[in-house]
Amino acid sequence: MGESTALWTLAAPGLAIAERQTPASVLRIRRPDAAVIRALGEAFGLSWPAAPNTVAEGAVRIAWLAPGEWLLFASAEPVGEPVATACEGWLHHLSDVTAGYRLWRIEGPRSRDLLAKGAALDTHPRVFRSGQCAQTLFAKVHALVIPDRSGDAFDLLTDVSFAGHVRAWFIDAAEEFRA
Amino acid sequence: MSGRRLPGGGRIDRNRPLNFTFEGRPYRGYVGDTLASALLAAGVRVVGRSFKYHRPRGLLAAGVEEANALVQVGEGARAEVNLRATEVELHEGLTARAVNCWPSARFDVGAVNNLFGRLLPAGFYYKTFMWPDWRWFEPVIRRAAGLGRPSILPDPDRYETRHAHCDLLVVGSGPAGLAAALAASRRGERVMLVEQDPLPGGSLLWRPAQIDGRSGSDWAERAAAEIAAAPDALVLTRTTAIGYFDHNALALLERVAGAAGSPGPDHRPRQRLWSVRARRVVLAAGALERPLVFPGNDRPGVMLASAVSEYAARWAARAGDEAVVFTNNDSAYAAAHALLDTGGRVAAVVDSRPAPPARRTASLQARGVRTLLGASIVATHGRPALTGVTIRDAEGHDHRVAADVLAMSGGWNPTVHLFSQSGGALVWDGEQALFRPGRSAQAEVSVGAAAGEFGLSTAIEQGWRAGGGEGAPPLADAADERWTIGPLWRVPARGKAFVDFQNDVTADDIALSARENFVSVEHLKRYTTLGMAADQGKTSNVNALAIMAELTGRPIADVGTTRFRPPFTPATFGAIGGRARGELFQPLRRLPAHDRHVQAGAAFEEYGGWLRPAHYPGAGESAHAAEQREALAVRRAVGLFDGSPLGKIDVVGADAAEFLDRIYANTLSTLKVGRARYGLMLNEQGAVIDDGVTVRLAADHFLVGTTGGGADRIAAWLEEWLQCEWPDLDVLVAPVTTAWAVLTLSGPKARDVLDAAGVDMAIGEEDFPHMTFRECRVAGVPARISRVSFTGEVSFEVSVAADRACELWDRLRLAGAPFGLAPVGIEAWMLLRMEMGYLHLGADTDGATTPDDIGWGRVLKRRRDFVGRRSLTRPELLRKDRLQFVGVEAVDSTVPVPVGSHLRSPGLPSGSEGYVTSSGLSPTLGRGVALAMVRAGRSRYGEELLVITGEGRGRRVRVTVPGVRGPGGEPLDG
Amino acid sequence: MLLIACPWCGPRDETEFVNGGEAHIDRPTPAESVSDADWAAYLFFHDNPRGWLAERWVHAFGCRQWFNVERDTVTHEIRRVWRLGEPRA
Repeated sequence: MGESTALWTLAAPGLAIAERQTPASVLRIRRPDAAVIRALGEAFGLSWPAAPNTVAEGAVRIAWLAPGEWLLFASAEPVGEPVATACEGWLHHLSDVTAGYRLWRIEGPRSRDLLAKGAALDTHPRVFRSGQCAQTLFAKVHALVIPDRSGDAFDLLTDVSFAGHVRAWFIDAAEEFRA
Repeated sequence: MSGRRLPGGGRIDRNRPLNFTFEGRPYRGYVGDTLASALLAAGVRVVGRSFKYHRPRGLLAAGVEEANALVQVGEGARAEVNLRATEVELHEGLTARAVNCWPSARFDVGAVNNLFGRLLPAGFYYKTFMWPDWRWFEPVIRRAAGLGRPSILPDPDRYETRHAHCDLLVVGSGPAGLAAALAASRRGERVMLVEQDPLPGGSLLWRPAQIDGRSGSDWAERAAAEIAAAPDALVLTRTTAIGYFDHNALALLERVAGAAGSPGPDHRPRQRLWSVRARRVVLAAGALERPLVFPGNDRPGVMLASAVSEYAARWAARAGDEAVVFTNNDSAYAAAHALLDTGGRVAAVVDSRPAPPARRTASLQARGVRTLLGASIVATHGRPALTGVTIRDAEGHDHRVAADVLAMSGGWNPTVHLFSQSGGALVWDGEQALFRPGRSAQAEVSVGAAAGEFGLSTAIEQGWRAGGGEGAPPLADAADERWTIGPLWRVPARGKAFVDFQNDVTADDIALSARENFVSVEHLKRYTTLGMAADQGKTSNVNALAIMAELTGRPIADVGTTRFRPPFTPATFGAIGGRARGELFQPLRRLPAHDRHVQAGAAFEEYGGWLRPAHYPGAGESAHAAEQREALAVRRAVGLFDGSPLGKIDVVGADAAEFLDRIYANTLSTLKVGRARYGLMLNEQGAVIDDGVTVRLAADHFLVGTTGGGADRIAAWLEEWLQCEWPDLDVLVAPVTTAWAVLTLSGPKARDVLDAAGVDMAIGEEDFPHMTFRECRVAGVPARISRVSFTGEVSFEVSVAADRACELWDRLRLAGAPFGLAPVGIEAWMLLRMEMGYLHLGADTDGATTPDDIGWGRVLKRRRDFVGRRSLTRPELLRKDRLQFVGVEAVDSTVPVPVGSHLRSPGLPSGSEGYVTSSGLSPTLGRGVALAMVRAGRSRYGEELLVITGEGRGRRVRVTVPGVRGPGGEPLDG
Repeated sequence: MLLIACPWCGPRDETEFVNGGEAHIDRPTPAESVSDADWAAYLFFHDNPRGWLAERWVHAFGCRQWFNVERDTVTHEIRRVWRLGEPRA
């Protein structure tokens, strides 16, 4: 998958952080039942993440945000049609929020320590693995955390308006790891 | 150095000597020493002065319960005050001085207080220094009070924070704690072992023991190493568990950079505060020895018996050459033996019990030590430090004995602080004369001495089982001995017998408290200040409440203990604040075009959680001048304003219109597609909580607008109503505020600029009228434009995807240059709306302002229900004298009226008719313009009032319709 | 620092939630026929027991769903969590 250029990066011993914009849309469906879930799964060629705080990877990565609410890592245009077809007859709404978020990729053996400085979320591999996700309060802002298969990397999604704050927080937090 | 350092032994590194100063004098110690042990080994006997009476004091203990040796360590910005010398790790170049004495501990001017002791009993400040006026004495007392002088320089160190989760958290690395952590780590659990000392081992560091064939300290070292090596285990030393909170949340304070006052290497934090959530907790924090209460028990040289042993065994520091032991229980006998083993002399063992276990006394008598039974110490002698004691034997005869150290033991208190904080209930164990943990309130268990179990084997086994250990636990080689005590709460004899050493509270003060009927333990504490010092009563609480029980004839269990509160030992504010300071204290949102504002020279301020341009000062231009210029630019040409924080929420579905009609006070369902309408939202009390412009994109699709500061709040509000009250409405809510940037062109030339920038539709007044909405392209960028005006001039609110904001800004500035386009900040924007008389929520309204108060009573829906409707007919909201939104202009003056100033009718002596809510200098008219809330204001236009508070007091003002009027009385608008 | 088990997300720190006051308060309607006393009770007079209380919480920094919790106001023990619309007992 070709990645866009990083908008900002940080490197420290055991730690690498890169900030990017990511294509993103939020799909909301009112009271979806098993049928529309199945239809969405078929349309995207994956098992639609109906269970809370799960992630499915396929042509598009899909993350559960709330009952009847999912984040699609794609802008609205390419996914509009499959969504509309699958959700036919159901009240649903697809918002393109690509410009509204920033994706932070955190990698390295010290990733978990860094997350532990900013959030009370338990990220131990025993309880938080690839295929799961969690929304929480990170560095005092609402964030979505997605663990990577490797166990040593995480994707963190925050609102774009907090990007300046989050950068400042990362710079300060990484100081400890330079000792 | 005097000969108080034993020639061998101790866990000090004699190859690494350290130089330090105390009270300006140079001394030497070793790596492994604490400041206390080094001072003791150096023969320093007076380490400080007591809080109130300024009596000379020596070391009482060897650990956190130390009450006398309070020191200030370090200089300048790193100075730390009120540390216990027993917790200060010695390092090269350490400088320390005693607090609360001048010029030094040895010669202290404050000692004069001791002479006036009779005037300074408990509560003296309520009684003695009251006549003729307590205020005369207060400044003097204030200056004399307090301990130590903290630095007022900025703290140069870093304080970090960390969250952690574990299956088992073990507090204390003595034998019981180590056994628990060992068992759990061998089962592969996520374990955290927390130890406040730099070394693991607890009492095994100084008490002789054999476990699994090894010395206790050896076994401890290996166990700790095995635990630390386990993949999911963490051993934290120099870390104190300072608080136990709900649902097994605990706070740990780690002293990372080692010794207090020592400069840490760059980047290394000085302290780290851990917030831990544990599935299970094992409390193995041991027990603290109690002093005995007898006259003169605070003289330097009187120490806890276990401390005397610990100093000798752990730091090779002998407390004295000629010792007397005074005890009411068996444990002090071990201290006597230990003293003899180091080559010291024990002149006598004084046991208050008439018949202690024979084997105890026999073992000492066999070594030539005199034992007096049923006896007590009734006085101590020596200035400034101990030279002798007076023993009263069982027959009542007094004997004077020479001694330079008195090792006392009044029993033991399990360290139950964290247990109690966790909500657990304490029980009084009459047989062992102590409080120990009873019923737990959380998933926690206490083991070992912390649970009142003093036998080593049993303690280890308890810990092992608590850690989930299966099979045989580590085994202590010696069988547990039975331990007995005969409670002695105070020695009845004349003289000051101290209970709380740190706050100078004596047994007589407790008696005074009882006489004045402050008999509840909570009253006793506050009346005498007992237990309120930095040591939080670790050596005084139980003695005090037991004495009170005796005085009032109640069982100790009935008197009970006061509440245990965190922190267990004092914590710095730096650690609590962590890195959440300065820029990182509060997250602020930045505008999508932030960089462009910076380039344009914006002066930023925080508004509603966003960092926004207040104004754009030119070179040498003042803030005021910039505001005036920017506002004029909008009136005369065109301004460019960043309105991106405005809330934008998509509301879709067949019931979208119905939903909005229920939420808004006015009607939204009649809004036509492509049109915009101003809406008021109320809470259920009928107060206005948000306003904004909503547009209709389709029959089943609205884009709700909110104030900049209300975007998140209103999105949550809509969700709450849908989830909790109207779950059956066929509607979805999608907040998209930050995905869109909003740049507004406002002014007579606004249309020209938009045209010049390039828009793919007709924008003439007939094609694109006021309060309508279009989707189009501006300079090739997909956009939505609303024709709404906050300034009174023709305005186009252009919304584009947030990542196209800078691009749009550039195009608009380029297109606008020939027309005199100027960036406009918040302050000027506010001036413009003030001139129009438009209200601004939060400035002109407060939490009680209703639609009618602001003149919007008539637009409300009449026939159907909406949130807040019922409250509007509450009697309070129908009063005729409610504050109403009006304009205010100064009479005979162009100077603006101060915001917040109250207004009163001329001739009235008191009361307020209301107050000014917004005010500024109108650049258009060159005079002040203001808005206000005035009682029944709408029926008082033309009336004169007076300003009665703040600057401008006494100025005449007139109530007007909101909004500036031109010379002919016509409203000033575009 | 409570640990609250969101019905969707599982146990999370209190800081992710916002308290919404007493649960199961019915909004009196229609507005015209509600007496001042009943309306005041709805707005202002809420239970404040020393002991078990049914209250609302919203997982504000998580899935943003509202749910009910039964909590002891003295010990802070939480013994039950249930979704809106589910029966209380």
